[in-house]
Amino acid sequence: MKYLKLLLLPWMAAVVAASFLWPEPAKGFLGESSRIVFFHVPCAWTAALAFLVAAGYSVGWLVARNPRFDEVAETAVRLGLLFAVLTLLTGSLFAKIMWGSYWNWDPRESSYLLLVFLYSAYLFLRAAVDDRERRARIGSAYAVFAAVLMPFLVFVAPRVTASLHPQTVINPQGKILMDAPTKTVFFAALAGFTGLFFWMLEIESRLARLTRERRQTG
Amino acid sequence: MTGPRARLGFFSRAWAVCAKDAAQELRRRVAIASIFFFAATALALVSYAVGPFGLPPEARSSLDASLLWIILFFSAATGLPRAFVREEETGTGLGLRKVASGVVVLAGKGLFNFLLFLAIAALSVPAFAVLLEWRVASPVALAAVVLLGGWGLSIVSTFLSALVARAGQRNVLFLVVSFPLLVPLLLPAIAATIQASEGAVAQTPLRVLAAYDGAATCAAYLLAAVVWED
Amino acid sequence: MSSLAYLATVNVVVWVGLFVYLWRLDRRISEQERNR
Repeated sequence: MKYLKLLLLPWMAAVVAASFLWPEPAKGFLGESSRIVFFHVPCAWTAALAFLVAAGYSVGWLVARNPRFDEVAETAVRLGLLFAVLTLLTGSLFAKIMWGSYWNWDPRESSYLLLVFLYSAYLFLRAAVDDRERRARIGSAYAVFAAVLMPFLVFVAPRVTASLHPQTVINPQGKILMDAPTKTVFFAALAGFTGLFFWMLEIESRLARLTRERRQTG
Repeated sequence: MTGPRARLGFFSRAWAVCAKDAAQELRRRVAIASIFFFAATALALVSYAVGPFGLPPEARSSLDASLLWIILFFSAATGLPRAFVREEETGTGLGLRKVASGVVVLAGKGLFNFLLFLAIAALSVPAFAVLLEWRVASPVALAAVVLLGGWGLSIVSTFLSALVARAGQRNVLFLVVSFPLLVPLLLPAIAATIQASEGAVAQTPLRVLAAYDGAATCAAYLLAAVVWED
Repeated sequence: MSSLAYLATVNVVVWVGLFVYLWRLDRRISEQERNR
Protein backbone atom coordinates (compact mmCIF):
# COMPACT_ATOMS: atom_id res chain seq x y z
CA MET A 1 0.00 0.00 0.00
CA LYS A 2 2.81 2.34 0.93
CA TYR A 3 4.42 1.78 -2.47
CA LEU A 4 1.22 2.55 -4.31
CA LYS A 5 1.11 5.87 -2.50
CA LEU A 6 4.70 6.63 -3.40
CA LEU A 7 3.90 5.79 -6.98
CA LEU A 8 1.18 8.41 -7.07
CA LEU A 9 3.45 11.42 -7.42
CA PRO A 10 5.49 10.20 -10.40
CA TRP A 11 2.27 8.89 -11.93
CA MET A 12 0.48 12.21 -11.67
CA ALA A 13 3.62 14.08 -12.72
CA ALA A 14 3.72 11.97 -15.87
CA VAL A 15 0.02 12.52 -16.43
CA VAL A 16 0.30 16.29 -16.05
CA ALA A 17 3.34 16.50 -18.31
CA ALA A 18 1.73 14.25 -20.87
CA SER A 19 -1.53 16.16 -20.79
CA PHE A 20 0.29 19.27 -21.94
CA LEU A 21 2.74 17.68 -24.34
CA TRP A 22 1.38 14.52 -25.88
CA PRO A 23 -2.17 14.61 -27.29
CA GLU A 24 -3.24 17.19 -29.82
CA PRO A 25 -5.95 19.61 -28.76
CA ALA A 26 -9.30 18.21 -29.83
CA LYS A 27 -11.27 19.55 -32.75
CA GLY A 28 -14.20 21.79 -31.99
CA PHE A 29 -12.53 23.24 -28.90
CA LEU A 30 -10.92 26.65 -28.59
CA GLY A 31 -7.13 26.50 -28.49
CA GLU A 32 -5.70 24.26 -25.81
CA SER A 33 -8.90 24.23 -23.76
CA SER A 34 -9.71 20.59 -24.53
CA ARG A 35 -6.83 19.62 -22.24
CA ILE A 36 -9.07 20.44 -19.35
CA VAL A 37 -10.79 17.11 -19.90
CA PHE A 38 -7.84 15.48 -18.14
CA PHE A 39 -8.62 17.38 -14.95
CA HIS A 40 -12.24 18.38 -15.06
CA VAL A 41 -13.71 14.99 -15.91
CA PRO A 42 -11.63 13.00 -13.38
CA CYS A 43 -12.68 15.53 -10.72
CA ALA A 44 -16.31 14.98 -11.67
CA TRP A 45 -15.87 11.23 -11.68
CA THR A 46 -14.16 11.31 -8.29
CA ALA A 47 -16.95 13.44 -6.82
CA ALA A 48 -19.51 10.90 -7.99
CA LEU A 49 -17.34 7.98 -6.84
CA ALA A 50 -17.10 9.61 -3.41
CA PHE A 51 -20.85 9.62 -3.20
CA LEU A 52 -21.11 5.96 -4.15
CA VAL A 53 -18.48 5.10 -1.54
CA ALA A 54 -20.38 7.11 1.06
CA ALA A 55 -23.64 5.39 0.15
CA GLY A 56 -21.97 1.98 0.26
CA TYR A 57 -20.47 2.58 3.69
CA SER A 58 -23.82 3.99 4.87
CA VAL A 59 -25.52 0.75 3.86
CA GLY A 60 -22.70 -1.07 5.64
CA TRP A 61 -23.36 0.91 8.79
CA LEU A 62 -27.10 0.28 8.61
CA VAL A 63 -26.42 -3.45 8.41
CA ALA A 64 -23.46 -3.84 10.76
CA ARG A 65 -23.73 -0.72 12.97
CA ASN A 66 -19.94 -0.43 13.04
CA PRO A 67 -19.03 3.22 13.85
CA ARG A 68 -15.99 2.94 11.62
CA PHE A 69 -18.26 2.62 8.57
CA ASP A 70 -20.06 5.80 9.45
CA GLU A 71 -16.76 7.64 9.84
CA VAL A 72 -15.62 6.57 6.39
CA ALA A 73 -18.98 7.55 4.91
CA GLU A 74 -18.80 11.05 6.34
CA THR A 75 -15.18 11.44 5.21
CA ALA A 76 -16.15 10.33 1.72
CA VAL A 77 -18.87 12.98 1.59
CA ARG A 78 -16.46 15.70 2.67
CA LEU A 79 -14.02 14.67 -0.03
CA GLY A 80 -16.86 14.43 -2.53
CA LEU A 81 -17.75 18.02 -1.70
CA LEU A 82 -14.16 19.09 -2.34
CA PHE A 83 -14.00 17.36 -5.70
CA ALA A 84 -17.43 18.61 -6.72
CA VAL A 85 -16.34 22.18 -6.02
CA LEU A 86 -13.16 21.58 -8.02
CA THR A 87 -15.29 20.21 -10.85
CA LEU A 88 -17.38 23.37 -10.85
CA LEU A 89 -14.29 25.60 -10.80
CA THR A 90 -12.50 23.81 -13.64
CA GLY A 91 -15.76 23.59 -15.54
CA SER A 92 -16.47 27.29 -15.26
CA LEU A 93 -12.93 28.13 -16.40
CA PHE A 94 -13.62 26.02 -19.46
CA ALA A 95 -17.00 27.68 -19.93
CA LYS A 96 -15.40 31.11 -19.82
CA ILE A 97 -12.95 30.12 -22.57
CA MET A 98 -15.46 28.34 -24.78
CA TRP A 99 -18.60 30.40 -24.38
CA GLY A 100 -17.46 33.59 -22.70
CA SER A 101 -19.31 33.25 -19.41
CA TYR A 102 -18.48 31.41 -16.22
CA TRP A 103 -21.92 29.95 -15.65
CA ASN A 104 -24.73 29.07 -18.03
CA TRP A 105 -27.26 27.03 -16.09
CA ASP A 106 -26.49 24.13 -18.35
CA PRO A 107 -28.23 21.05 -16.85
CA ARG A 108 -24.99 19.12 -16.55
CA GLU A 109 -23.13 21.82 -14.68
CA SER A 110 -26.20 22.56 -12.58
CA SER A 111 -26.36 18.92 -11.56
CA TYR A 112 -22.91 19.26 -10.02
CA LEU A 113 -23.94 22.44 -8.26
CA LEU A 114 -26.80 20.40 -6.88
CA LEU A 115 -24.35 17.72 -5.74
CA VAL A 116 -22.55 20.45 -3.78
CA PHE A 117 -25.90 21.29 -2.17
CA LEU A 118 -26.56 17.62 -1.49
CA TYR A 119 -23.20 16.98 0.20
CA SER A 120 -23.59 20.15 2.21
CA ALA A 121 -27.10 19.14 3.25
CA TYR A 122 -25.76 15.80 4.51
CA LEU A 123 -23.13 17.59 6.60
CA PHE A 124 -25.63 20.14 7.93
CA LEU A 125 -28.05 17.37 8.86
CA ARG A 126 -25.36 15.53 10.79
CA ALA A 127 -24.16 18.69 12.48
CA ALA A 128 -27.65 19.26 13.92
CA VAL A 129 -27.65 15.95 15.81
CA ASP A 130 -25.67 15.59 19.03
CA ASP A 131 -25.90 11.91 19.82
CA ARG A 132 -23.29 9.96 17.85
CA GLU A 133 -25.39 6.90 17.18
CA ARG A 134 -28.41 8.89 16.09
CA ARG A 135 -26.22 11.08 13.91
CA ALA A 136 -24.91 7.98 12.15
CA ARG A 137 -28.41 6.63 11.74
CA ILE A 138 -29.86 9.83 10.31
CA GLY A 139 -26.81 10.45 8.12
CA SER A 140 -26.89 6.92 6.72
CA ALA A 141 -30.62 7.04 6.03
CA TYR A 142 -30.23 10.32 4.17
CA ALA A 143 -27.20 9.11 2.20
CA VAL A 144 -28.95 5.94 1.05
CA PHE A 145 -32.17 7.77 0.20
CA ALA A 146 -30.22 10.35 -1.77
CA ALA A 147 -28.25 7.61 -3.53
CA VAL A 148 -31.49 6.10 -4.81
CA LEU A 149 -32.61 9.46 -6.21
CA MET A 150 -29.20 10.52 -7.51
CA PRO A 151 -29.43 8.73 -10.88
CA PHE A 152 -32.39 10.97 -11.67
CA LEU A 153 -30.30 13.98 -10.90
CA VAL A 154 -27.20 13.06 -12.82
CA PHE A 155 -28.51 11.08 -15.74
CA VAL A 156 -32.13 11.84 -16.40
CA ALA A 157 -32.57 15.56 -15.77
CA PRO A 158 -29.75 16.63 -18.11
CA ARG A 159 -31.26 14.52 -20.84
CA VAL A 160 -34.80 15.76 -20.43
CA THR A 161 -33.55 19.26 -21.16
CA ALA A 162 -31.04 20.30 -23.83
CA SER A 163 -27.39 20.80 -22.96
CA LEU A 164 -24.36 22.86 -24.04
CA HIS A 165 -21.97 20.27 -22.67
CA PRO A 166 -19.61 18.53 -25.03
CA GLN A 167 -20.44 14.92 -25.78
CA THR A 168 -19.81 12.94 -22.64
CA VAL A 169 -17.71 9.82 -22.23
CA ILE A 170 -20.89 7.88 -21.52
CA ASN A 171 -22.76 8.71 -24.70
CA PRO A 172 -25.65 7.25 -26.68
CA GLN A 173 -23.41 5.49 -29.21
CA GLY A 174 -21.64 3.69 -26.39
CA LYS A 175 -18.24 4.27 -27.96
CA ILE A 176 -15.42 6.45 -26.75
CA LEU A 177 -14.82 9.28 -29.17
CA MET A 178 -11.18 9.99 -28.37
CA ASP A 179 -7.97 9.31 -30.25
CA ALA A 180 -5.33 6.99 -28.78
CA PRO A 181 -3.02 9.52 -27.06
CA THR A 182 -5.98 11.34 -25.55
CA LYS A 183 -7.55 8.11 -24.41
CA THR A 184 -4.36 6.96 -22.72
CA VAL A 185 -3.75 10.19 -20.84
CA PHE A 186 -7.40 10.44 -19.93
CA PHE A 187 -7.64 7.02 -18.36
CA ALA A 188 -4.29 7.49 -16.68
CA ALA A 189 -5.57 10.73 -15.18
CA LEU A 190 -8.75 8.95 -14.10
CA ALA A 191 -6.72 6.24 -12.37
CA GLY A 192 -4.50 8.85 -10.73
CA PHE A 193 -7.40 10.83 -9.35
CA THR A 194 -9.08 7.67 -8.09
CA GLY A 195 -5.88 6.66 -6.31
CA LEU A 196 -5.60 10.13 -4.86
CA PHE A 197 -9.16 9.98 -3.62
CA PHE A 198 -8.71 6.65 -1.87
CA TRP A 199 -5.49 7.81 -0.25
CA MET A 200 -7.15 10.98 1.03
CA LEU A 201 -10.12 8.91 2.21
CA GLU A 202 -7.86 6.60 4.11
CA ILE A 203 -5.89 9.42 5.77
CA GLU A 204 -8.94 11.46 6.73
CA SER A 205 -10.83 8.50 8.15
CA ARG A 206 -7.85 7.30 10.16
CA LEU A 207 -7.58 10.80 11.55
CA ALA A 208 -11.29 10.75 12.40
CA ARG A 209 -10.89 7.46 14.22
CA LEU A 210 -7.91 8.76 16.21
CA THR A 211 -9.89 11.83 17.21
CA ARG A 212 -12.85 9.71 18.22
CA GLU A 213 -10.70 7.36 20.29
CA ARG A 214 -8.91 10.24 21.93
CA ARG A 215 -12.21 11.83 22.83
CA GLN A 216 -13.45 8.59 24.32
CA THR A 217 -10.44 7.94 26.51
CA GLY A 218 -9.07 11.45 27.11
CA MET B 1 -46.04 -9.12 13.34
CA THR B 2 -48.19 -12.23 13.09
CA GLY B 3 -51.60 -13.26 14.31
CA PRO B 4 -54.83 -11.30 14.53
CA ARG B 5 -53.08 -7.93 14.70
CA ALA B 6 -51.42 -8.54 11.34
CA ARG B 7 -54.76 -9.30 9.82
CA LEU B 8 -55.83 -5.79 10.63
CA GLY B 9 -54.00 -5.09 7.43
CA PHE B 10 -51.28 -2.69 6.50
CA PHE B 11 -53.55 -0.28 4.64
CA SER B 12 -56.14 0.03 7.36
CA ARG B 13 -53.42 0.76 9.92
CA ALA B 14 -51.84 3.34 7.64
CA TRP B 15 -55.24 4.84 7.03
CA ALA B 16 -55.76 5.04 10.80
CA VAL B 17 -52.56 7.08 11.13
CA CYS B 18 -53.71 9.32 8.31
CA ALA B 19 -57.15 9.81 9.82
CA LYS B 20 -55.64 10.59 13.22
CA ASP B 21 -53.40 13.25 11.69
CA ALA B 22 -56.31 14.74 9.80
CA ALA B 23 -58.47 14.81 12.92
CA GLN B 24 -55.69 16.46 14.92
CA GLU B 25 -55.07 19.12 12.32
CA LEU B 26 -58.73 19.87 11.76
CA ARG B 27 -59.42 20.16 15.47
CA ARG B 28 -57.08 23.08 15.83
CA ARG B 29 -57.59 24.64 12.47
CA VAL B 30 -54.96 27.32 12.91
CA ALA B 31 -52.08 25.24 11.58
CA ILE B 32 -53.87 24.07 8.45
CA ALA B 33 -55.23 27.52 7.81
CA SER B 34 -51.78 29.02 8.07
CA ILE B 35 -50.46 26.59 5.46
CA PHE B 36 -53.14 27.67 3.01
CA PHE B 37 -52.48 31.27 3.91
CA PHE B 38 -48.80 30.74 3.17
CA ALA B 39 -49.69 29.49 -0.29
CA ALA B 40 -51.93 32.50 -0.75
CA THR B 41 -49.13 34.82 0.36
CA ALA B 42 -46.64 33.26 -2.03
CA LEU B 43 -49.16 33.55 -4.81
CA ALA B 44 -49.89 37.18 -3.94
CA LEU B 45 -46.19 37.96 -3.88
CA VAL B 46 -45.71 36.51 -7.33
CA SER B 47 -48.77 38.28 -8.70
CA TYR B 48 -47.76 41.64 -7.24
CA ALA B 49 -44.24 41.29 -8.58
CA VAL B 50 -45.17 40.07 -12.01
CA GLY B 51 -48.44 41.95 -12.54
CA PRO B 52 -47.33 45.51 -13.26
CA PHE B 53 -44.26 44.45 -15.25
CA GLY B 54 -45.71 41.53 -17.13
CA LEU B 55 -43.89 38.52 -18.50
CA PRO B 56 -42.33 38.47 -21.98
CA PRO B 57 -44.81 36.61 -24.20
CA GLU B 58 -42.30 34.12 -25.62
CA ALA B 59 -41.21 33.00 -22.18
CA ARG B 60 -44.64 33.12 -20.61
CA SER B 61 -45.48 29.45 -20.59
CA SER B 62 -42.15 28.32 -19.12
CA LEU B 63 -42.09 31.16 -16.57
CA ASP B 64 -45.68 30.48 -15.53
CA ALA B 65 -44.99 26.77 -15.06
CA SER B 66 -41.81 27.45 -13.09
CA LEU B 67 -43.49 30.00 -10.83
CA LEU B 68 -46.35 27.65 -10.14
CA TRP B 69 -44.09 24.84 -9.01
CA ILE B 70 -41.96 27.20 -6.93
CA ILE B 71 -45.10 28.26 -5.09
CA LEU B 72 -46.19 24.64 -4.66
CA PHE B 73 -42.73 23.59 -3.47
CA PHE B 74 -42.46 26.28 -0.82
CA SER B 75 -46.01 25.71 0.36
CA ALA B 76 -45.27 22.02 0.69
CA ALA B 77 -41.94 22.69 2.40
CA THR B 78 -43.77 24.81 4.95
CA GLY B 79 -46.80 22.62 5.48
CA LEU B 80 -45.78 19.02 5.06
CA PRO B 81 -43.03 18.71 7.71
CA ARG B 82 -45.64 19.51 10.33
CA ALA B 83 -46.56 15.84 10.29
CA PHE B 84 -43.61 14.99 12.48
CA VAL B 85 -42.94 18.30 14.14
CA ARG B 86 -46.38 18.13 15.67
CA GLU B 87 -45.57 14.76 17.23
CA GLU B 88 -42.49 16.29 18.81
CA GLU B 89 -44.42 19.29 20.05
CA THR B 90 -47.26 17.36 21.61
CA GLY B 91 -45.02 14.59 22.87
CA THR B 92 -47.06 11.89 21.21
CA GLY B 93 -44.10 10.52 19.26
CA LEU B 94 -43.21 7.93 21.87
CA GLY B 95 -46.77 6.66 22.05
CA LEU B 96 -47.06 6.36 18.32
CA ARG B 97 -43.79 4.48 18.16
CA LYS B 98 -45.15 1.83 20.49
CA VAL B 99 -48.22 1.03 18.43
CA ALA B 100 -47.12 1.47 14.86
CA SER B 101 -44.09 0.40 12.84
CA GLY B 102 -42.07 2.86 10.81
CA VAL B 103 -43.59 1.76 7.55
CA VAL B 104 -47.14 2.20 8.77
CA VAL B 105 -46.39 5.68 10.09
CA LEU B 106 -44.65 6.63 6.86
CA ALA B 107 -47.56 5.38 4.77
CA GLY B 108 -50.15 7.07 6.96
CA LYS B 109 -48.41 10.42 7.19
CA GLY B 110 -47.36 10.23 3.56
CA LEU B 111 -50.96 9.74 2.56
CA PHE B 112 -52.08 12.62 4.77
CA ASN B 113 -49.42 14.87 3.28
CA PHE B 114 -50.42 13.84 -0.22
CA LEU B 115 -54.03 14.77 0.47
CA LEU B 116 -52.90 18.02 2.04
CA PHE B 117 -50.79 18.79 -1.01
CA LEU B 118 -53.69 18.06 -3.32
CA ALA B 119 -55.85 20.41 -1.28
CA ILE B 120 -53.22 23.14 -1.53
CA ALA B 121 -52.88 22.54 -5.27
CA ALA B 122 -56.65 22.47 -5.77
CA LEU B 123 -56.82 26.01 -4.44
CA SER B 124 -53.50 27.41 -5.66
CA VAL B 125 -53.57 26.26 -9.26
CA PRO B 126 -56.92 27.81 -10.24
CA ALA B 127 -56.07 30.96 -8.28
CA PHE B 128 -52.73 31.12 -10.08
CA ALA B 129 -54.41 30.67 -13.44
CA VAL B 130 -56.81 33.51 -12.70
CA LEU B 131 -54.33 35.96 -11.17
CA LEU B 132 -51.63 35.56 -13.78
CA GLU B 133 -53.98 34.93 -16.69
CA TRP B 134 -52.44 31.56 -17.29
CA ARG B 135 -54.33 29.53 -19.84
CA VAL B 136 -54.12 25.76 -19.68
CA ALA B 137 -55.14 23.95 -22.84
CA SER B 138 -55.26 20.50 -21.24
CA PRO B 139 -56.44 20.47 -17.61
CA VAL B 140 -56.34 16.66 -17.68
CA ALA B 141 -52.63 16.67 -18.47
CA LEU B 142 -52.12 19.25 -15.75
CA ALA B 143 -53.98 17.07 -13.27
CA ALA B 144 -51.70 14.16 -14.19
CA VAL B 145 -48.60 16.25 -13.47
CA VAL B 146 -49.98 17.50 -10.18
CA LEU B 147 -50.89 13.98 -9.10
CA LEU B 148 -47.57 12.40 -10.06
CA GLY B 149 -45.48 15.33 -8.92
CA GLY B 150 -47.53 15.66 -5.77
CA TRP B 151 -47.03 12.05 -4.76
CA GLY B 152 -43.24 12.28 -5.15
CA LEU B 153 -43.20 15.59 -3.31
CA SER B 154 -45.26 14.15 -0.47
CA ILE B 155 -43.37 10.93 0.02
CA VAL B 156 -39.96 12.61 -0.08
CA SER B 157 -41.12 15.40 2.24
CA THR B 158 -42.66 12.95 4.68
CA PHE B 159 -39.55 10.81 4.80
CA LEU B 160 -37.20 13.77 5.17
CA SER B 161 -39.33 15.46 7.79
CA ALA B 162 -39.10 12.28 9.87
CA LEU B 163 -35.32 12.53 9.58
CA VAL B 164 -35.24 16.20 10.42
CA ALA B 165 -37.79 16.09 13.22
CA ARG B 166 -35.27 14.78 15.73
CA ALA B 167 -32.73 17.48 14.95
CA GLY B 168 -32.81 21.14 15.84
CA GLN B 169 -33.36 24.11 13.49
CA ARG B 170 -36.09 22.16 11.81
CA ASN B 171 -37.56 24.50 9.25
CA VAL B 172 -34.32 25.70 7.75
CA LEU B 173 -32.85 22.23 7.85
CA PHE B 174 -35.82 20.73 6.04
CA LEU B 175 -35.49 23.16 3.18
CA VAL B 176 -31.74 22.56 2.90
CA VAL B 177 -32.14 18.81 3.04
CA SER B 178 -35.11 18.49 0.69
CA PHE B 179 -34.10 20.90 -2.06
CA PRO B 180 -31.36 18.79 -3.75
CA LEU B 181 -33.57 15.71 -3.75
CA LEU B 182 -36.63 17.50 -5.08
CA VAL B 183 -35.03 19.26 -8.04
CA PRO B 184 -35.06 16.03 -10.12
CA LEU B 185 -38.80 16.01 -9.47
CA LEU B 186 -39.45 19.70 -10.08
CA LEU B 187 -37.68 19.88 -13.44
CA PRO B 188 -39.76 17.19 -15.18
CA ALA B 189 -42.87 18.52 -13.41
CA ILE B 190 -42.26 21.97 -14.85
CA ALA B 191 -41.53 20.53 -18.29
CA ALA B 192 -44.74 18.51 -18.21
CA THR B 193 -46.70 21.52 -16.96
CA ILE B 194 -45.47 23.63 -19.86
CA GLN B 195 -46.66 20.94 -22.23
CA ALA B 196 -49.98 20.67 -20.44
CA SER B 197 -50.56 24.41 -20.77
CA GLU B 198 -49.98 24.01 -24.49
CA GLY B 199 -52.37 21.09 -24.67
CA ALA B 200 -50.03 18.12 -24.88
CA VAL B 201 -49.50 15.19 -22.56
CA ALA B 202 -45.73 15.09 -22.11
CA GLN B 203 -44.71 11.45 -22.31
CA THR B 204 -41.07 11.64 -21.26
CA PRO B 205 -41.33 13.94 -18.24
CA LEU B 206 -44.37 12.07 -16.93
CA ARG B 207 -42.52 8.77 -17.24
CA VAL B 208 -39.56 10.26 -15.41
CA LEU B 209 -41.91 11.45 -12.67
CA ALA B 210 -43.47 8.02 -12.39
CA ALA B 211 -40.03 6.40 -12.16
CA TYR B 212 -38.96 8.94 -9.55
CA ASP B 213 -42.11 8.31 -7.54
CA GLY B 214 -41.50 4.58 -7.68
CA ALA B 215 -37.87 4.89 -6.63
CA ALA B 216 -38.65 7.33 -3.82
CA THR B 217 -41.50 5.20 -2.49
CA CYS B 218 -39.39 2.03 -2.47
CA ALA B 219 -36.45 3.76 -0.81
CA ALA B 220 -38.69 5.37 1.80
CA TYR B 221 -40.38 2.02 2.48
CA LEU B 222 -37.04 0.27 2.97
CA LEU B 223 -35.60 2.97 5.20
CA ALA B 224 -38.73 3.77 7.19
CA ALA B 225 -37.91 1.34 9.99
CA VAL B 226 -34.44 2.83 10.40
CA VAL B 227 -35.68 6.38 10.71
CA TRP B 228 -38.41 5.50 13.13
CA GLU B 229 -36.11 3.76 15.62
CA ASP B 230 -35.38 4.88 19.17
CA MET C 1 5.17 33.71 -19.63
CA SER C 2 2.94 31.98 -22.08
CA SER C 3 -0.36 30.72 -20.68
CA LEU C 4 0.70 27.11 -21.20
CA ALA C 5 3.91 27.58 -19.26
CA TYR C 6 1.91 29.33 -16.56
CA LEU C 7 -0.53 26.43 -16.30
CA ALA C 8 2.37 23.97 -16.23
CA THR C 9 3.99 25.84 -13.34
CA VAL C 10 0.71 25.98 -11.41
CA ASN C 11 0.32 22.25 -11.88
CA VAL C 12 3.82 21.47 -10.67
CA VAL C 13 3.37 23.58 -7.54
CA VAL C 14 -0.07 22.15 -6.78
CA TRP C 15 0.76 18.51 -7.32
CA VAL C 16 4.14 18.48 -5.60
CA GLY C 17 2.71 20.50 -2.72
CA LEU C 18 -0.29 18.23 -2.40
CA PHE C 19 1.81 15.10 -2.45
CA VAL C 20 4.25 16.39 0.15
CA TYR C 21 1.37 17.47 2.39
CA LEU C 22 -0.40 14.12 2.14
CA TRP C 23 2.76 12.13 2.66
CA ARG C 24 3.68 14.02 5.80
CA LEU C 25 0.16 13.74 7.15
CA ASP C 26 0.21 10.01 6.51
CA ARG C 27 3.50 9.66 8.39
CA ARG C 28 2.24 11.70 11.35
CA ILE C 29 -0.94 9.66 11.62
CA SER C 30 0.95 6.38 11.45
CA GLU C 31 3.10 7.60 14.31
CA GLN C 32 0.05 8.54 16.39
CA GLU C 33 -1.47 5.15 15.70
CA ARG C 34 1.69 3.43 16.90
CA ASN C 35 1.65 5.44 20.12
CA ARG C 36 -1.99 4.96 21.04
